[in-house]
Amino acid sequence: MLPRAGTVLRVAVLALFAASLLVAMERAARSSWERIVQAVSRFGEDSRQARRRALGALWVAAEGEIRHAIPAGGDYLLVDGGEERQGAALFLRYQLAPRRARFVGRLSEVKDPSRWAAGLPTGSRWVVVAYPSRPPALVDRRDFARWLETTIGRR
Amino acid sequence: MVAAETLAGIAGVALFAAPGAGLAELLPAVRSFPTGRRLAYAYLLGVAWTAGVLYALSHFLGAPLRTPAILATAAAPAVAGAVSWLRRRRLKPRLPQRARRRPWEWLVVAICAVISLAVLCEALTNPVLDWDGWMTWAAQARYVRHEGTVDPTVLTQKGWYVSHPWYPLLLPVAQVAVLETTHADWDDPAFRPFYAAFFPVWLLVIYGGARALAGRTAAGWATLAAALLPITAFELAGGAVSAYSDLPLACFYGGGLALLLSPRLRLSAGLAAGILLAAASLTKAEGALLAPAALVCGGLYAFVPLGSQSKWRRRWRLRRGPLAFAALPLVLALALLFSWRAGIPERFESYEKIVSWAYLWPGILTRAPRIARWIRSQMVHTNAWGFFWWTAPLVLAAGWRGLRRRATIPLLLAAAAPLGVAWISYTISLTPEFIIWTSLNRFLIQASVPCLLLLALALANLLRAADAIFRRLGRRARFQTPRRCTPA
Repeated sequence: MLPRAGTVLRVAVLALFAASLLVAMERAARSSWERIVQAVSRFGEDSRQARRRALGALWVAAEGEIRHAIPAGGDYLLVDGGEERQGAALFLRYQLAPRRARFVGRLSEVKDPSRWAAGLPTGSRWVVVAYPSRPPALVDRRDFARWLETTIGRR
Repeated sequence: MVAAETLAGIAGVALFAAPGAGLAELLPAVRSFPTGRRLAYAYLLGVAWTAGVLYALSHFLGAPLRTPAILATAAAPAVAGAVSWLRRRRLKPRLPQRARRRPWEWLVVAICAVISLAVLCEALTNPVLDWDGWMTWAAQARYVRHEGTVDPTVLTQKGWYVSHPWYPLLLPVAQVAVLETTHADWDDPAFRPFYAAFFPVWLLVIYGGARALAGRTAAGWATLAAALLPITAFELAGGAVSAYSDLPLACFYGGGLALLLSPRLRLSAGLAAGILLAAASLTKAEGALLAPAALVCGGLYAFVPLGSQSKWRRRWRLRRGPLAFAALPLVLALALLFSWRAGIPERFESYEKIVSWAYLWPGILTRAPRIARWIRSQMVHTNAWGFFWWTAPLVLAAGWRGLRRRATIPLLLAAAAPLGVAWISYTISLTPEFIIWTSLNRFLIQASVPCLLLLALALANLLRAADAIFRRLGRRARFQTPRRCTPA
């Protein structure tokens, strides 16, 4: 009358799977609770306030200044002040879209600031520098060589 | 979140659910589904129809992606479906009530509903903060919205800084549809609930497919396991709280495949599957490979088990019509995709830096052990997958008898398709460890529906074993129960 070993093994695996679901349930409950509580506590916060909270007030203010200078259909030259994998330039490009960007390089690659600035593509009036952990900088193209020398000198 | 923005987000979901409900009503195979599964397919059909038609109208006819075109596209199937529903309601009496849910099923429903609500809350509370969302999908949507076309100058002219300009735009077009109809500000993430809705849809697609293949109990277990995976719900790199395209692709690919694997494939099921696979091909670059693969799996279903020639010939004769119906929208979508891509100048510089086809041979063999080791270490990461990849192989091994079904081989191939694409990309990558770290989980999400359907088949076998033991124990307990003395 005893069940066969194969059947017992299958039930044991099922029990193990059920146990793994129970463990996962505790974690899912915690993650869900956090998000529901967060949504309730932030009810009344609009998307602008949410951006300030998530990105930082200084960052949003700097970005607002850039948006004001470059109209929605305009374009700019984008410089990455961080490393490629930090993604600062990608993030800023999204925030400034639909303004179109021409990527010109990374500050870390600049050896000769005046030559580098002179070799920038023609057309766009503004240069925007994206940083991974501080607000972006907006520089007039005519002042960019000087700005670059000061910044690289400081580095 | 404020009430107006919350309502705009929910209106964005309704923008696709309404035409989808119309299409579900017009397609008898989808109409006959239970409510939950019908809702899920309605949402997927609505996204596929609205964004797909707008994509084609914008590219081929230059129709501007503005409110009138969006509302007209969404309204057409919604109105047709409403008319059909009213006519059908007058002609036919209401169907009898379906079987009632058992308490444990209500528990699974409640858990899935709470997690889906949490995903929606996250989408309504925070701006887009995920890498691919702002690198590719939401950025492209802003360019498309600004110019009102799927051929914006940043894509069609050389020199502009865009990531993956050749990635298909179905989901950015869907984002634009939501933002335009709700008159949302540039920073208003009104489209985020549209992505969050894919989570319950994914669960319902899994439940519906698993129930048809393995029964209610196994489907419930598989759906619960899916709902509790941390990665698909809350992970910023590919989960439902992000603006990544992998979960939508999993829904379109898995949803289409599940329809094609029904034993008696109807023409309308074939057409619905074709619309979903067309959407899969326009959702992500891999979709153009996965959608034809799903169609092949649907065709293969006629030939397994091969049996006598007359048997498989008869099965093929019954399936070839619906499969042709499924192929039609997919062919149209691929024509749209290639025509649209033809207008985008080549900018593969970034890919040339990270891949080399010279590695493919003999790299596919020599690099395999290293790639397998990295993949394993990623899959057993409990932060992303919990203990799923620890226990799921055990369930499949112990419940292998449950896998002796006609659907098993097509499902195995369908699960292998995205993983095969992943394996090739890792083989030719110059930095495979980094690429595995950033993309493996997303390839696994793409393969999730066939994987979970296979898991449901194995679980059904284990549940039968458990049922047999409990019945035996119950019988013995009944034998040992002393007879109650009855008063004289």
